[in-house]
Amino acid sequence: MSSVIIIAVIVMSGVGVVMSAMLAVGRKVFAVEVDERHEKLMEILPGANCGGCGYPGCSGYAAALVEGKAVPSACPPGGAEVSSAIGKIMGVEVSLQEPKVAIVACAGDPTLAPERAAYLGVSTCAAAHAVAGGFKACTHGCLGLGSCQSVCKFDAIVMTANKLAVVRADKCTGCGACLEACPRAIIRLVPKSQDLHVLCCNPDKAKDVKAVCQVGCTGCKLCTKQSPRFVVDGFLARVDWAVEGDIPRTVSFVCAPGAIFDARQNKILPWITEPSERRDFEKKVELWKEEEKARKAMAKAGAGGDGDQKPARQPKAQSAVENAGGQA
Amino acid sequence: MKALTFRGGVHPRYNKDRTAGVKTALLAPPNEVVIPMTQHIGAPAKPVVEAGAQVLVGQVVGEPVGFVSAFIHSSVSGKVKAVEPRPSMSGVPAMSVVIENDSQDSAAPMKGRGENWGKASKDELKELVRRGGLVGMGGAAFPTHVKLSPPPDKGIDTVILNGAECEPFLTSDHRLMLERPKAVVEGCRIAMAILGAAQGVIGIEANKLDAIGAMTEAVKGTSIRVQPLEIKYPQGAEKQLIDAILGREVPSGGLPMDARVVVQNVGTAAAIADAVIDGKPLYERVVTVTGSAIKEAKNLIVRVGTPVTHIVEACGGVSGELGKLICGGPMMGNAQHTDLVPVTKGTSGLLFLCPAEVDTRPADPCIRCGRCVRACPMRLMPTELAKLSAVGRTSESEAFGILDCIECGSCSYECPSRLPLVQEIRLGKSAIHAARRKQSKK
Amino acid sequence: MDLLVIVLLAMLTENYVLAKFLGICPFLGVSKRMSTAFGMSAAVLFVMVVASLLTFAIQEFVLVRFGVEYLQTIAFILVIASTVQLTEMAIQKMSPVLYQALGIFLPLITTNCAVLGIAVLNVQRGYGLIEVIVNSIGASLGFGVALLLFAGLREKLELRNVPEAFQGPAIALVTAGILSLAFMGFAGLAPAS
Repeated sequence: MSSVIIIAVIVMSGVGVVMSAMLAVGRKVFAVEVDERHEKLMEILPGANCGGCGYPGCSGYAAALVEGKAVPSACPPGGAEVSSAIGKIMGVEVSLQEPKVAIVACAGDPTLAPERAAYLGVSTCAAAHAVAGGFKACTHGCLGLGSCQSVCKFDAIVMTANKLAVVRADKCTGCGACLEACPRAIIRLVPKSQDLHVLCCNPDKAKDVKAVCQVGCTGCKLCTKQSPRFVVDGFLARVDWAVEGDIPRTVSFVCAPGAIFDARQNKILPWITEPSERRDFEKKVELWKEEEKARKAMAKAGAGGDGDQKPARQPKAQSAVENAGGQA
Repeated sequence: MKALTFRGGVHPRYNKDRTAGVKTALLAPPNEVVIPMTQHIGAPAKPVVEAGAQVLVGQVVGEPVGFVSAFIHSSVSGKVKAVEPRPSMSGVPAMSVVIENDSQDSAAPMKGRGENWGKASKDELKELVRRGGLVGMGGAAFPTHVKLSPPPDKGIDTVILNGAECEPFLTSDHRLMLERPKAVVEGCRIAMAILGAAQGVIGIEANKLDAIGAMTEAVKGTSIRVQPLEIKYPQGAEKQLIDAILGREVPSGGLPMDARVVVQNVGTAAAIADAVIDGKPLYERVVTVTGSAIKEAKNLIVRVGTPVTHIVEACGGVSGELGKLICGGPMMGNAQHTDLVPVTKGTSGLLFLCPAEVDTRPADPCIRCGRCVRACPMRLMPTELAKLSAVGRTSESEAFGILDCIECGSCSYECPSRLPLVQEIRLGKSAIHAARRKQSKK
Repeated sequence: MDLLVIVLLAMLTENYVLAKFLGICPFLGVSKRMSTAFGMSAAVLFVMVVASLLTFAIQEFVLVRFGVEYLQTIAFILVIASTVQLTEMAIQKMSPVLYQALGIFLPLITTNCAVLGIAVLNVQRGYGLIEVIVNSIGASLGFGVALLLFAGLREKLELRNVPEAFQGPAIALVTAGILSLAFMGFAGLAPAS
């Protein structure tokens, strides 16, 4: 009986030895060098394959990193955490960049910026834009067919009920996929910490802008008087992130057409049609105005003191206002 | 003579009766013309006059930028009011020269070669054509001098004049052949002389028997013949014409000159004759104004830059509600969002449709009936190409010959599900071209 | 038996995927693109032929000689697993692109029951050396035919409007079922037993 077991064991061991010998030879013949850092990198990268780094997917980015072609801070969804982890693996110092988010620089949904023609064709923005420059009267505004939404891997773009693309800053990773999807190039990347933006891309003169959109920037320059950070190029205002200075919150009410976006509201004034909502909003404005006054008084008192160079938007004051808004 | 044709194509209702018998009338120039700098395929012309300048009829107001571009001339005499972007038929504002008409119609000196153009050299003739700002008048508006300058090794042996006018509604070429057959023939002879082609053929659809008669009379004593063609759309497309008349196939990705042929529209031929013999640049053209929503349908000789509103007034206005305004024919023309746009060199017709004629129903799913495949004159599979483009599988659509599509619209016309096949294919083509540009940049 | 009959049997009538329902895992997993399906078919062809030969040798010269035929399954799996490992190394070296595309499905050939199935069947039917080679080539060609047909269908399916509930694997399985039904038509090719 025991001989049966012994024979079986010997036979199987023999087969096993032959096979492993074969594999050992194969390992030598077909040896491929694999950088172990590649696998480590793949573990820490987000794995969304969004392409924000400029390489085909996370694996492509990892390969480029290993080859020394890519910088560790190129992964927008990963942010500071991932880039420092990459730095550790690759053994390099990482310079931190401010995280960015995308913003759709157009506030003119069809109720505010009318359509000039009925469009019945292929339902993508690029297709609509290619037909006679688009069906919207404003040839720079959001077409609202959601091409940016469909390429967003993070569900960060929502289409409003009135067909306007809006980026949710809380979900946006700044990968920039939507920038390429937009045929009109009205989506741009802005520093995440900033929350006042000009939502208009129409560089035309005031008369032409007014003809096609109620909330288009007319280049009236009122905002530039509020803050040095606002710059008007031709007939279109923008915020210059390089310029030092603060932006008073009240600026979004100075803007006559209402093209200045307050990210804390996630809304611009003309979108608010509900009377109760509008009242709440106005209450907030009062608060902001007071806040602004107090800040100015503080600045006066503090001038010449210890060189108080605090940024305009103090986090504490901000949350107080937010609470007020939330309860109302 | 037997009417020739190609394989595929569609039979839309022609609707030409309303204007086919209407004699061409001169339209008085408007008080203000808007002359866009983008009236042709290729680089936009550069405006060479400034606001305040006095211009004469036929004076150059735009100069070509590069080889594939064209001269642009003033169509009235008067003062330049502005040089600024204005709405154009492409849908996007185009840089335009706005001229206030002084109603004097004082013309700039025109210098042609007269009847004895045969003594002029090829280059001289070509230069006259180029100076005249000539573009293809069938609708695509490709600069004519470029077409007349093929590489010498192509061995062009035939010039085909396209008098098929297969687009429904349009009758401008038809009227031109009836009223100015001599000019058409002269233009054809000049083109043949420039190209060194021995043979000239004028292809005319068999529904224009009077035009066939007039042209047959006019070509007597020349090496040009008239060829009746079957009544079918797109009989006037270059590659289909060559196939029907000569039985030659233009190779995939090639141009008619690769089949040793140059195709010109009959309107272009007449313009060549005008430019070479009289030195008259292209500043006016025949436009068919028709459609059930316009009160009086007419064939009009219209100055380039005349706003559509002016033409509507001259035709008694719009009856009832306007459903759609199309510049060009219903198959390949462009729908307009406003009637403030001006007529350009390539505008063969203005089509005013009433709301009942405009199908606004949304598209249904493809039922795989294959009618588009049968209709395609290029023997492609439109449904497959459209689908592949929609999902972005460009390498496959390229393998299926998407770049050979001539965008004639036969497939979209035939589709019972009203699918926007041509639009999808066009997008797919532009995606391939964009990818190629990106590739070549790298 | 006639060698041609063996090939046709293995390839069509007794198609390992569509008639015997073996090797379904790579059939569903690597059939999204024709190119990867082709690579997979080639890999399976190689593995099947080599594994059939090796298992034939093991059966003849080891198991039968020592009277331990009951160790068949475990010995065969050992051989097949090693062969697959070797193939994987070879592909990684020779075609990194194909290696990437096949991904997890390459090591999964190990557990591809079609490979074990053919080894066992060879023994059951008492095939000789030539017949074993022919049978394994026929079976792997059959696998390739099924996989390529299915990949082609799935490429077309991608272009069609599939009801939302059926999208993805659901419609793929329905398609596979219909393909299998179609292959039943080859039953008439089988010689009357």
